[in-house]
Amino acid sequence: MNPEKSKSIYKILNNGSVVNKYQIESGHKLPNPLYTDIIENEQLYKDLYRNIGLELHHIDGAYMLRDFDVLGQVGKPAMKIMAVVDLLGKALQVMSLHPEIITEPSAGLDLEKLKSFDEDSEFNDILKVCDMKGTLTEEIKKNLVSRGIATFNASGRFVLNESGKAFYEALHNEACEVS
Amino acid sequence: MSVNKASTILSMIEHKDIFFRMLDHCQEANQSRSISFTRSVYERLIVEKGTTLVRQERNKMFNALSVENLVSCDFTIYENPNAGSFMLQECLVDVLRLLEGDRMRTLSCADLDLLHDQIANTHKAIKHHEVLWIESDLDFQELVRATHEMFRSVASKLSQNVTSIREHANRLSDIVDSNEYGLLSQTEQFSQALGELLTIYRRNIIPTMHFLDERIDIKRHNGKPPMSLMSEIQERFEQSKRFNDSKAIRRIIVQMLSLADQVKTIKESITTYISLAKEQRRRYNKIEERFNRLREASINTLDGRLKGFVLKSNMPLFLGCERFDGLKQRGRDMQLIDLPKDDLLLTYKEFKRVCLDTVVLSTVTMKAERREPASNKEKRERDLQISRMKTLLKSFEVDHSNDDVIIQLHLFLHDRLPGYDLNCLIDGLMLVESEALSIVCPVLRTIKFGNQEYSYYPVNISKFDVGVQSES
Repeated sequence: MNPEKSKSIYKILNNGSVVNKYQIESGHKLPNPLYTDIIENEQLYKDLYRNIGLELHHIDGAYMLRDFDVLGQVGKPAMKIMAVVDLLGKALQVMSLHPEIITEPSAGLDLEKLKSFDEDSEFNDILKVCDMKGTLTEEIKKNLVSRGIATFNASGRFVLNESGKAFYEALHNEACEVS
Repeated sequence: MSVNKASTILSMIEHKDIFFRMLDHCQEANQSRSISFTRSVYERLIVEKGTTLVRQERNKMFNALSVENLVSCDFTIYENPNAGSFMLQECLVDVLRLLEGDRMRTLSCADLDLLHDQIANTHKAIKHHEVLWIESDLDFQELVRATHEMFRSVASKLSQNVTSIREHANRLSDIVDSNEYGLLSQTEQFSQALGELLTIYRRNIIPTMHFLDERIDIKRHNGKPPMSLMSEIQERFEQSKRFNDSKAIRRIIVQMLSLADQVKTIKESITTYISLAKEQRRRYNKIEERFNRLREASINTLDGRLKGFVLKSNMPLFLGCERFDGLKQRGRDMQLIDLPKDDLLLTYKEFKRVCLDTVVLSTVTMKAERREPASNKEKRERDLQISRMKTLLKSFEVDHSNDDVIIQLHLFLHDRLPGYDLNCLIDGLMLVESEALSIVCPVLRTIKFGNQEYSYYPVNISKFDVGVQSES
């Protein structure tokens, strides 16, 4: 375990962000050294966090930190991420864009294109009832980008990371189970 | 000048782009089925084309392709001078379409049904008990000719149909393959191409395959499968010892059956695109469904009576986000407490002492200073006022229900002391014992009296002990 990397990992995870398998640089996916350090010392990291009441959890190409106390119940962060991803999907659909535009690291979506949805009353009402006070673009930055679920590529365009991509596809591809 | 039919056809083929543009124009104007050409548009295109030609060729083209010449050659079904439109013979349009593969007409379900009806009618006529299978019978001769004509027509249409489907599928597949997701400009074209592929698959490929399958048992309004009817017609000829006719019909049937293999190959080649299109449609529905549920929940929650309510994260609406279950809240960048490493208690006491000094200092500061008397007269008057106040303050009682002692003192002196102003209040405060004075809350209050103003912090009433300072 590398102390410097361990410190960075703790800082990222404790801030409610995820450590991704890849980091996007110049439109290409490169291995993330922090992720590699966790993979190499996974048990050590898991024990470390378990002793302070947290669980190091692996989701689709990323590690996140979960609170043992709230396990088994959907927390507000998860709810907000889900609502923002749903609204993002709807916005892409309205603009007749393919989801690949936000899942391909070399492509990416200019968030300026989503500005028109910032004034959409339906979008704003949904954000409000999901306890989000900002506009769609603000909440995307707050709930996806700052959590490491999405990032900006070399062209400054918005792209989903591995975890975000898997979540997006799982939400919109699986058969609906909600009655 | 009139031009003969052969030269006119040659000219039409030579300048086929004019007719292609006319076909496109008809398609844009949703007249693709009637193919009625608008004369003004047609003549404008001829003139445009003429500007690119030398004089002799231009005149030749104008003569050959003029509407009058087309009418005189009987190349039009009709020409309507009032509506300014005309319609070319179907066979000519087919010849032109044959020159460009993907312009050929695909057969829709309705077209195939019409063909099926045609075959069924011929089958009925051939099987009719009144038909005399005698060579010299004129009715019979006509029936045989019509049967051959029908087979040829059906085979030709099906063959064109398959070529057209192949060309369309190839063109659309190329569009889909060359799509770059990063380029927004291509997105619409891509979606349109996928949609068209799906339409071709559903409306042309599958019905054609069903049409060409003699074994498939689909409930049809016009009885047996078309290929089965055709086989029965051929068998009837064979039973009547008309082997030449039977052989010719059999050849056409076999050729038509071979088309089924071609359609199957096309179907397999576009299967990937079809599944892609289906996937896209499913995703579209899913996103719409999820958005509508969220919107419905937001409408029910924000209906005015429940203002300020938010959705609960454990609602069924949010099932599916379990992968982020338990994700930590985003922490604020709070620093750790930075205490000195040793002698903590001493440091704490020192911290308290310093803070206490500050508090005392603020209390003292609260005792506003009054300007010193400028003259002896003024000094005498002030001393007199103070002695009056001392007497009055002996009867001053604190009202514990009111947390502001200073306003109580102000009202008390204002009611009882003649010539009272805010300077007197400051003197009065100085007469009051002040050890227990401490600020209740750091909100500045102001008393306005005449043209004077006095700002102060309210003091803690529970510890306030009113008294008069000793004269010593």
